[in-house]
Amino acid sequence: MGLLRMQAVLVLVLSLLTQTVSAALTIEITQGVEGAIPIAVVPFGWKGTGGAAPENIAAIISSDLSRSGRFDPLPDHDLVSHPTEAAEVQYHNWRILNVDNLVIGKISETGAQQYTVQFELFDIIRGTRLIGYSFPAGRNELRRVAHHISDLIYEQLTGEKGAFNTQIVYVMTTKSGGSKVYTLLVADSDGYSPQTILRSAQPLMSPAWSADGKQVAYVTFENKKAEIYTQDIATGTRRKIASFNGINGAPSWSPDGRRLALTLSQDGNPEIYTMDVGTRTLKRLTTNSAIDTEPVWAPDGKSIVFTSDRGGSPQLYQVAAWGGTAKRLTFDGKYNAGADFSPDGRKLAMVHGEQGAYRIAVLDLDTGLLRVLTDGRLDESPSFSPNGNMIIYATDAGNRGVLAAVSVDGRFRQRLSLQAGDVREPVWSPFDR
Amino acid sequence: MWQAIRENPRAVMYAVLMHLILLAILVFSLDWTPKISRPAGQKVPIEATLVDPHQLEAAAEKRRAEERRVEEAKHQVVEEEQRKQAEAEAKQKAEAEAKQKAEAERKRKAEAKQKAEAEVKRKAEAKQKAEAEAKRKAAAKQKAEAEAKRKAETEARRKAEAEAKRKAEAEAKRKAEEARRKQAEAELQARLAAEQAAAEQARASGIVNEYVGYIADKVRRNWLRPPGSPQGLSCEVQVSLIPGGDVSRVRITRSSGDPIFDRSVETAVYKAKPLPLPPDSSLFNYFREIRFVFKPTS
Amino acid sequence: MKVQLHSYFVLLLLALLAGCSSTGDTKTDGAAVEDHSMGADGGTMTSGAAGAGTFAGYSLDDPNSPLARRVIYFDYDSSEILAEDQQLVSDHAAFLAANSGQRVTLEGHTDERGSPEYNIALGDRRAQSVRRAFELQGVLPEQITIVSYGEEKAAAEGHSDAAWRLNRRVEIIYQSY
Repeated sequence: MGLLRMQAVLVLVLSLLTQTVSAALTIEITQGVEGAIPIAVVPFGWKGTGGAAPENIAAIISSDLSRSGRFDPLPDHDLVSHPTEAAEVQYHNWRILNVDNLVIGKISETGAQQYTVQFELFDIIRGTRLIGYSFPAGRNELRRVAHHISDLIYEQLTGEKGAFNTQIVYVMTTKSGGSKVYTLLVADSDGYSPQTILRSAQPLMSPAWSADGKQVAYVTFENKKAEIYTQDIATGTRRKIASFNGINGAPSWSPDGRRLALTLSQDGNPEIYTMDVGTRTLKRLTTNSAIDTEPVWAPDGKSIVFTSDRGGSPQLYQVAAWGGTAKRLTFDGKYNAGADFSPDGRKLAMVHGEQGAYRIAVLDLDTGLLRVLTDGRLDESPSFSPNGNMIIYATDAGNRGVLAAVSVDGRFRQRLSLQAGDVREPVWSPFDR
Repeated sequence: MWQAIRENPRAVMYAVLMHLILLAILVFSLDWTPKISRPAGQKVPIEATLVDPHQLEAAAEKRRAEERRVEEAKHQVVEEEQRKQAEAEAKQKAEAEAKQKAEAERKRKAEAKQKAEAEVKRKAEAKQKAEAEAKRKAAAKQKAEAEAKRKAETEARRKAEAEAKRKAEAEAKRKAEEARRKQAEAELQARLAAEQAAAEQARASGIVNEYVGYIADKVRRNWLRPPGSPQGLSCEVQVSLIPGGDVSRVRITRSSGDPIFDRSVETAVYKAKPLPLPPDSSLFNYFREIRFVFKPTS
Repeated sequence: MKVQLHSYFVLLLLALLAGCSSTGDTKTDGAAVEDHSMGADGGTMTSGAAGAGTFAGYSLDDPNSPLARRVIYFDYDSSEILAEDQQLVSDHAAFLAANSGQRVTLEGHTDERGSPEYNIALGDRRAQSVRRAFELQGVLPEQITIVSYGEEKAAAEGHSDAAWRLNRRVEIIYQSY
């Protein structure tokens, strides 16, 4: 838990001048403590065949909550008791441990590969139960149910929507025989349960979720040149969207799903275009002999942020979605590229290079302040979670690329455990995927 | 040394001056004249020619007698003068005195006359007065007799009334007296109590302030501020305490508009209980109801 | 050292020119004067001199030909052809200009640092540099195809300067028929 102590207490004492003490004493509190909410997540009870439940629900919840940076779960070995239902909860026991909240639950086997998952959330301070739910789930749904429970707990205690029950898409490179294999995968937001949606012998890059979470656009070199396809995730149906001369790259969906912003160099050098996905008509947004690429649509659909080196080095610029004069946004450092918008449209995550290291930074568009969140040397491809609280990105671990998540305040960082292989370009799905 | 002189020119100058003065004094105090004793008043011896000493003596004697005679004559004249003057003065004095005496006599006579006249006047007035007095007395006597009569008539009536009144008044007076006495006593008590209370307050406000600080500190330490909350939020909570510092009631009196912020504020108060209170239980009244205003400044 | 190598190759080329004209598997244009007289007394040696505008060709598969080297390297964040590669570019340009039916693909690449799509654009810029140099020297636009792979196809693995230097490149890929 982080603590900020500043001596800023203002005391207003009324009523001391009268003999009768009738009015209340007024005390002003001008400072609090910054830190994660202390919470205890007790291993769920298990009723069924086999020694243990097929998934450790409590561990998934605990990991989710701590990854958000907003909670500080008690380590298992500090738990003094293991209640699984409300009647077994003794509040004073938990008060001694200084936790604000308690999560307990149980899993019961109801059939072959069928379960019921129940959980309850308690307020230790007030000594009350806050919420409790019960879900039926098949074997393969257990992890998603756990993430859903994490979302419910998160919402109850922070007032914000949880983004644990969401997915990510990313590119993985493995070696098979002597040659490389490139795959596009969709996994849970904690990296588990990956599913391959495309496999190729040639590079794949720049995946992008549509706003409804049903499609992914990406760049593929399967025809020995860069081309943009869109693919329906559920069915696997693909459509070739752009195969112009030169570069076809960096697709980004408009919030209404009707257009894609993309990079084409058919007119001589990389420029930003938008394309109506239905009619395939193109509209050119930049006319500049410099590199203009990596367009990303603002959540309100009114503007596009992109990377340009028209000023001498890669920086972020913003232009109206229907075209116009581009306005420069970044002035800190010599390299700012690969932007992603926060869901509320007020922040931009980017790759920020300074002094030979490439890190993830966040620019606050209201204040213009840039804040570096990571401390790697080769961090790239940042992507906001749909509730704007976390950023997933690619980093390097020795000889291969891995994914990591960092909370937007920079306080908490965690590597995602994925299977072996070189993993890159993660993109977080919208809600309800 | 030269450096010292350069650095302190004034001091050196004074020193030298002093030395010179001292030297001068020394010099001038020495007697440079050769020692010749010369008694005062005596004339320088003169060169005398030879002369017969007896002749000298006779001449001298003659001269001396002459001188004596002149001297005496002078004296006589002077004395005569003086005597004459004294006589004149005495004469003047006598005349002045006589004048004064006559004047005084005259004054005295006049006064005596005035006195006699005043006396006569007084006598006459006194006589008048006496006559008037006698008249008045007679009339008064009459009046008094009539009055006495009337008086006697009303007297009885009045007496009865007065009696009753007096009784009532006496009663009221007694009561008032009693009340006044009581009030005076109460005021005295109150004054004493007030003095005591003032002294206590001075002591208590110090203690109360101290514990307000402890309470604020404990609540602050237990307030996990929600990180996502917007700037400028403020929330007021009314907290009722029971002796010992436990919280019997927490009530949001002014919401911040953000339920999570409000809840965090409530939680802070709950987590901070029991609130630290001064050991002197007579000060508990100051802390019975506390209004917390949560208003983060950053 | 590279300069020396070049001179060596040039010399070799000349030597080969002199020697290979009788094999008949290359195309030439213009008259070539060949003279194989070599006096038994070893006195004078004559060698043929090529006519103007003529390159006698040589096998693309010959590992000793200058065209065997097909990678041009670049400095960090730059798409400028270095001085030491000018000759190589010229060699290839000359060959292609002389063989207008021969097509090449110029593949642009970058090292792994920075944003992937920006690196696509950077690789493309490098390939365009080489293309311009080719076209200036007579290569026809339709002979050249450009593809940029950015950081996606590293030639050398690793996170060192040495690996990065080997990845910042344009590869000249001769298309076979």
